[in-house]
Amino acid sequence: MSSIELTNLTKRFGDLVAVNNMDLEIKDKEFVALLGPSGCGKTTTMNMIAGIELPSDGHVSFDGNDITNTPMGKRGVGFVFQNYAIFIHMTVYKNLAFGLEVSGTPRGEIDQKVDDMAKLMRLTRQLDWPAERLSVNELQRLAIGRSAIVRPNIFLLDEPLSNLDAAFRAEMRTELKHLQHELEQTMVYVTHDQLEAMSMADRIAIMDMGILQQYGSPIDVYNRPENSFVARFIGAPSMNLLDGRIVGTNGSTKLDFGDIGNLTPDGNDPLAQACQNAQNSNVLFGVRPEDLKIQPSGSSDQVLSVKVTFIELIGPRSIIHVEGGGHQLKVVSDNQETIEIGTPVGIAPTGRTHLFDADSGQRVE
Amino acid sequence: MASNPQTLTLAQQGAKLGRWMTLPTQLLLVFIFAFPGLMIIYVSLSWWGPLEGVPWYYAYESLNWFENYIYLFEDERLWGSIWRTLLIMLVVVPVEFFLGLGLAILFVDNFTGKRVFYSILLMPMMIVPAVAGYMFYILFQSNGPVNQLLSLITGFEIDILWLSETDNAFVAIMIADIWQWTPLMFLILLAGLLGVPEDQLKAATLLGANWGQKFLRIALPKMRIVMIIALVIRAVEAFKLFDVMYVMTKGGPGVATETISVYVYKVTFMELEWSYVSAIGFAILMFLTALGAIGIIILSNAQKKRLANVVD
Amino acid sequence: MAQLELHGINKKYGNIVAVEDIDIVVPDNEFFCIFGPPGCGKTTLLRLWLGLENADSGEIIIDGQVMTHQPPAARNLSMVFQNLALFPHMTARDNLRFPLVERKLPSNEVDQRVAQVAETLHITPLLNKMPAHLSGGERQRVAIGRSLVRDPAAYLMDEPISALDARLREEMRVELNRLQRELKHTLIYVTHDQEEAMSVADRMCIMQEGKVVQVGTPGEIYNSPATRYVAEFVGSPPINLIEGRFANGTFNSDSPSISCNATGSSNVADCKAFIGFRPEDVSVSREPTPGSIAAEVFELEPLGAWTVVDIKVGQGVVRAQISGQPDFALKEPVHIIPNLERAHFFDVDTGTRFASGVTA
Repeated sequence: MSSIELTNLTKRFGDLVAVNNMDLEIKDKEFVALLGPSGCGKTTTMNMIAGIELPSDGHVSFDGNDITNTPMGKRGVGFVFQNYAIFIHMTVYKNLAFGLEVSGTPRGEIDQKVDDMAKLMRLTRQLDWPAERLSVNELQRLAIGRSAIVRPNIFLLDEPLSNLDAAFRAEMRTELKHLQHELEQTMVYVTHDQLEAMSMADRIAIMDMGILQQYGSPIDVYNRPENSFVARFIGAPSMNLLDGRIVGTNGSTKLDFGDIGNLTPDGNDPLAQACQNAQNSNVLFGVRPEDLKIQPSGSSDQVLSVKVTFIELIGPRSIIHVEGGGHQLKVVSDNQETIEIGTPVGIAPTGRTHLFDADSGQRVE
Repeated sequence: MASNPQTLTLAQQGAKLGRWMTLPTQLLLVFIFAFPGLMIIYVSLSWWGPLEGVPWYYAYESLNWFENYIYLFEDERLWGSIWRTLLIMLVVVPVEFFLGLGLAILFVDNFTGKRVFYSILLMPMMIVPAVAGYMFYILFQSNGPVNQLLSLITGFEIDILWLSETDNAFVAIMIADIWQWTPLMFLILLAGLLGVPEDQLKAATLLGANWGQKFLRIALPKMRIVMIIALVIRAVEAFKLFDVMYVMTKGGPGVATETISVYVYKVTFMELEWSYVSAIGFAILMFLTALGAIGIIILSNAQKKRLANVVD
Repeated sequence: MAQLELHGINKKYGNIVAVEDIDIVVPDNEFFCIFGPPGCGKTTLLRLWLGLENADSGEIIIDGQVMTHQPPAARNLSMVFQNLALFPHMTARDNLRFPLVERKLPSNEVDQRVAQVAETLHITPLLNKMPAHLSGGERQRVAIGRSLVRDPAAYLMDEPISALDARLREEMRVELNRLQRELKHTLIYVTHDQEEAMSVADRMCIMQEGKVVQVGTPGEIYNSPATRYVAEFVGSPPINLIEGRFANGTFNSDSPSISCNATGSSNVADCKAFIGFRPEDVSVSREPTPGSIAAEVFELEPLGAWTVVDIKVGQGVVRAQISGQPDFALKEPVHIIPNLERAHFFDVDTGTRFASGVTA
């Protein structure tokens, strides 16, 4: 049983502010992903939770107890390093047993626990091998098993899947999630891959430039991004963001995109209200590729006219790249589309749309 | 495939070219090593000396085959010097090793003034050994600074004859050697310690290991090779110990602190027994080569065992 | 501009067979992808084509000429390696000029070629910058540009973008495809990422343990996988495979219980068989419908545009991919119907596909 609270957490390296005044609370047994591009401060944040780095300001508490100044060995956290940090001069058994041996656990108990963990991690056959003989995939499981065996209440993982090949990464995503259910631990997971975060986490904390951008469930951040950074970062292929301007006055506002046309949201659409609130300003209009539909050219006034530039066929789906008036957009279709490149088409939003302030990038309601 | 000369792979072509390009170096090495080696063997089989009045290649005129080598076994002064050399080696090398290791461990973490201490620590190594010898020669005079300091601390009149009593002279020489060569040990071991992957140490800490467990289980196994190298380098160097002690005691009092190098020096330049010296030199070379070969066999066996584990 | 061919190629390293009986013909101006898991021999194929390795047997033909025993330089191919390193002390422009200056081309020709490549790659504004001042994606473009400035017979690329992060990879694969179309050169591309392969390739081949298992367009390979191996490796999340018995044109399995007639399989001998259907062909509902199978939600992966649902059916797990964001809860009882019109049947022992689709 362990919750984590970060309050005003700040880390400076000289002039660089790696983490800026971050507040975050992670509930007991929750799986939270720290997500962001490289250099966003996610790894620094996790290192401060583990005690590998000490914060310049602010506090880290576990279960309400301030542990900001507790040394890293005494916090009882399990940590899986990106490069696994396996003790390659030892056998697989010795690696798994390490945490138990240093705490003076009786030999019989160690054997029992190592056997169980090896079974769980599918490493039984390899127990007597020197660790350097393992494949990357096995090293990865060993790294998780070595930390899990001491039953830490809090489990931290630093991009554990980034060295794996694509097929195995997909498999491990599912496996990690099962593991978390099984171990019943609070898990914090650092990644730059939004797909990993979306598919595994209960909640995602998205960071950029050391600042927490948004914190919420995968579906929340996907459906309602707080700013254009989150909008762009979550979802693949990424959200289309079009530079546009809101023209017209009360009751008859519309979004103008220059050469490719304009959109007039109808009254029930939340977009109408948003346009109302941001009259006569420059905005970023956001719409996900899967919320756009290809239509025959020039069929109704809700259609932006563009040209097909390229089609990617990925299994059952197609990603249709279109272009017009300097805007480039992507449309995802659930069919294997076969439109000729260069064909003029219309595109129309069919689902959720988003509006962001062009200057601040903040969401406009 | 071998029938077609065009089908050499890039790697094979590279290897072929490589052999040609290293040929001059190999020839040079053969010359540097083979010529003096053969000359020493040749001279050691005769009575030839610089006072004979004939060049060395006329040594066959006084050929005596293995008499120099037989004498070598009866030469008590030689065996005494070998024993003393080993004694010094057995004391200074472990002391330097543990001092160096302790210092290296201190220097892994950051502390204020680390750079200054670092420079100071490395200084002895940079000093010409003969100069260091003179320094200690002056320090260990019976009215020198060491005795004065000891008197000051204890309050008694201390008057130890550091350099003219056998046991004291040994201690003085060892102190000088330790002072001068601990830094090298420190440097090599520090490099070894810094080579221990930091992530593994962190991982061990996070798994609850204390300082000693981390050192014994993670750092030590990774440093084994570096430690062996450091020990071998220092053991060989100690075996050749000459300058510092020659300046301090000249092997005296009498022959009480004479090491192999000092003995060989004396035979060469005072007694001018060059053919005998050649025999000693060659015998020592053979002895050290045998030692080295044993070491290499042990190391490569360990390596093979490890690889066998990995490959099978 | 060249057609690249491999005929009956074999290569062993000691006792280990690296590639076996390879026959590939890549027509001029095609974007051809070699796809397979790590260690399947795809990089060996590239090295053979380039002349960095010699084949034990077989023939390599480039642009109609037999090149089997020619040195790499004579083959006029350009290679992009996985770790693209720029010279850090040179500007982007000098990095691009390097391969041409090496070949002692006249300076105005060099400038013209560099300008042209920079234009295609959209890196003209970056030309005067040092590599240290470029972002990861920009550096990658310059590095690719450096191998494009030459005018070789064909380009060979070995996982050129696999070191980039997901977002950049997505961008670069579109870019690469556009480039290939604009440069009008044959491009052979090695990757272990099935999504990347499907996205970029005109045609692709799938390798398994040194052999080519199937060659075709990404659509053909996805829609009609030749073997169980291909079906499993192409498509994400992977295809559902359920083991059962095939007898007299009918497939039967126990867990989950499926019974159907495989189209056009009347003269297939009885065997143990897998039925394979893709996750997007599984529909999930709360209410039972005719022919549905009772099951339980086991795991949910909400990905925004669609949701992957692992469903426990008896002892097995069936994976479904549903558009949108259905509000199923863990352990909720549901009913699934696999749409078997696009199902495939594979022989358990040989792994080959013997039928596709079902008839009532």
